[in-house]
Amino acid sequence: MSRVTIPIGPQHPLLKEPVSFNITLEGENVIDSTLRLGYVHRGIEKLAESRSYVKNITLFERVCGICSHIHTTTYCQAVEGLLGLEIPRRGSYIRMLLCELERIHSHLLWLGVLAKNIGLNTVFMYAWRDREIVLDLMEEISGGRVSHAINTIGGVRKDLSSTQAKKILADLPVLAARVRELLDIVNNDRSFKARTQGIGYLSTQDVYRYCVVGPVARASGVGVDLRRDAPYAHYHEFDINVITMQEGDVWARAIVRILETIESIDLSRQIVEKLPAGDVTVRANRKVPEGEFVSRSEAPRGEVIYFVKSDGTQTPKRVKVRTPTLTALITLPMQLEGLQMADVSAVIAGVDLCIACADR
Amino acid sequence: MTICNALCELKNISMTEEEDLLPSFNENQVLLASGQLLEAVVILLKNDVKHLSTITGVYQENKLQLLYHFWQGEGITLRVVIDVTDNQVDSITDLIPGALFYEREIVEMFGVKIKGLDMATRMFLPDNWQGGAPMRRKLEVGSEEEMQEIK
Amino acid sequence: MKGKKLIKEIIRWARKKSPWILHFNSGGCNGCDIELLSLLTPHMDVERLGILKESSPRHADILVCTGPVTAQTESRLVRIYEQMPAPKWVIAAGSCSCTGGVFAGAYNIHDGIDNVLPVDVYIPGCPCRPEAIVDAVIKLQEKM
Repeated sequence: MSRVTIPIGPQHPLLKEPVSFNITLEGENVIDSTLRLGYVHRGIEKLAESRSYVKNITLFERVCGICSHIHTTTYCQAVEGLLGLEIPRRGSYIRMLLCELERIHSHLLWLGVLAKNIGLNTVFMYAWRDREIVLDLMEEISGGRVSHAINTIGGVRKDLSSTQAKKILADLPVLAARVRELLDIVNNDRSFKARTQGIGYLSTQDVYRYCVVGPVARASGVGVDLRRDAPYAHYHEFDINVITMQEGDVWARAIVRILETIESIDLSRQIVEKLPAGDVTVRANRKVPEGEFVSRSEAPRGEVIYFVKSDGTQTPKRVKVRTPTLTALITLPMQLEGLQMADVSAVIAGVDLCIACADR
Repeated sequence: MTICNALCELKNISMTEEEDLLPSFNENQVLLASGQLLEAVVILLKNDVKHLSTITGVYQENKLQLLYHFWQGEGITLRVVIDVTDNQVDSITDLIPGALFYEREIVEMFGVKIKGLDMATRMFLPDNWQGGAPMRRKLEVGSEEEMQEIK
Repeated sequence: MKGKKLIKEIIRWARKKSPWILHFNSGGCNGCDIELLSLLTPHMDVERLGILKESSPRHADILVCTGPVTAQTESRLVRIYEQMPAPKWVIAAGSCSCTGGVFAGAYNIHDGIDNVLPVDVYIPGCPCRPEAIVDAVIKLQEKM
C-alpha cells in the first residue's frame, strides 16, 4: 500500500496553537509521525535577562495564558528563596487558592477541547459554561479572568474580603454538582468511551524512561504530585489525595483530570474556610543577593521548574523555565504509532497540549 | 536515603577542590568535569534517582556550565563544566531517553556540541535563523545589532 | 442597472450579517485565544450575531489573529491571508498582535501583525475580553 503524509498544523481546527505534525499513513494506519515546535518561541528567557525582577513577573505570567498563575508563583518562590523571605501565611493561602482555581479552570478547558476534537460539541459547551463560574470567581478575587497579576515578590497584591469568601463558598458546591455530571458522562457515555478507550497508551516503564510528569504520568500508574511529595507554599497543612489510574490511555487521563478537579474544588473550600488572619505581603528588596535557586511546583499539566541565577543586581543573570508539556510531547510519536487516522485527534488532545508553555 | 547514597558515591568522582567557588544553591549539587557526566548518571540511576527535570545552560564570562537537575523526593544537580576549547559533552539519551528535547535545546541555544545527538532539524529556532546561539549573545534587547540580525 | 445595484446591496447585507471568522495564533500565549473560543460558548453565544468559527481559510471572511508574529509563523500567516478569498478583513486581537505587547524587542518576533498584513481593527488588552472582540466585529460590520 502506498504511503501518504498528512500535515496537521500550524493552522488546523484541532489546534489552538501553531505546532506542526506530519503524520505518515499507510492505508488508515499511522506508521510514523514527526513534530516541529518553535512556532511560539518568543525568546522569553533572553528577555528576562534585561528586565528587573518585578517586571519579569508580568513577563512570566504570559508564558502561557492557561496556567499563568502557577508560573508567577514558582518564579516568585525562587526570587523569595534568593532573598531569604518568608511570606505571610495569609498571602500564601491566597496564592494556593488561585492555584487550585486555576487547576479547575484548566482541566475543564481541557475536557471541552477533547470533546470538541472527538465531535461531542455538547460536552464542550457544558464544560466551558461551567468554567465561567470559576472565571467569575477568579475575576472577583484578582480583577482578571485569564491573567490575574496577583503575585508579587513578597506575597500577593490583594487581600480577600469576607464577602468574596462567602461568594466563593456559595459557588463552589454548584460547580461541584456540575463537575459530577461531567464525570458521569466520561464514566458512562458509550460514545465518549468508544472514542477514548484503548488509544494513546503509555506504559509505566515509558513514563520513567521519558521523565513524563503530570496527569499523563498519573494515568499510567506513577503517582507523583509535588503538592504532596515536595510541598511548596503551605500545602503541607492539607491532605492531598493523589489520583492514579492504571490503564494509561486517553480515557484514564480524562478520569484522572476530572477527579482532580473535584479534589481541587474541595481543597479550595478548605483553603477559604481555614484562611488565617494577618498581612498578605512583606516588603522585598529590589537588589537580590548573589546565588542560585531552583523552585518546583505542580501546574495543572505537571511539574514546572524555575531556575533563577542572581548576580547581586536588580536584573536576573539567568532564568530557566521548563514546563510540563515538553515532557509529554516527546512521547507523542510513540503514542500515535499503529493507530487509525480517526484516533489521532483524540490522542493529540489527550496529552493536553500547551505549546506556548513548551516553546516559551 | 537514595539521594544521600548517590551523593556519597558522586563525591568520589567530582571536582571537590573547586566546590568552595560555587554560588549558594538550595539543592544538593556536585561539580563534574565533562568527561565524567556519563559515570555520574549511571551512579544516579543505580541509586534509583530516575527523574531528570531539565538541563540548564549557564553562560558567564566565556565559561559554560550545564546543570542537570534531577529529583527523587529531593533535588540533586550535576554541574558539568564545559571546556571552551573542546565545547562538547556526551549525550545521555541512551541512559535517559527523556533528555532528548533538553539536549536539543542546549545545542540550539548555547552552541554546544553533544556527541551522538541527531540535530537534523531545528526545534525552537526558526528555519531561517542566522543569528548563532541566542543565549550566548550579550546583546541589549532592542539594540541596533539585534534588529539587523532578526530581519 | 437598478437590478444589479440591488443584487450588490443584498450580497453586501448578507455578507455583513454573517461574518465568518478564522482564528490563527501567530505565537501568542493563549490568553486571547481562550477568550476568543469562549465566544462560542453559551456564556457569550456569538452565533446569534451570525459569527461562525471556520476551520479553513477558504471559508472565512475575517482573520482574527492573536500573538506577536514569530519568525517561524510569518510566512504561514501571509500564506493563510492569501488563501482567503476577497473581500477579506483582518482583526488584530490583543496587545501582542497590535504592538508586540510584553514581548516587544525579543529576538524572534515582529512587533505586531501590521508589519506583515494590513489590519482593519485593533483590539487592545492583555488578554482582550470576549466583549471587546464582539465589539470589534460589530465595528467592522460598519466598514463592510
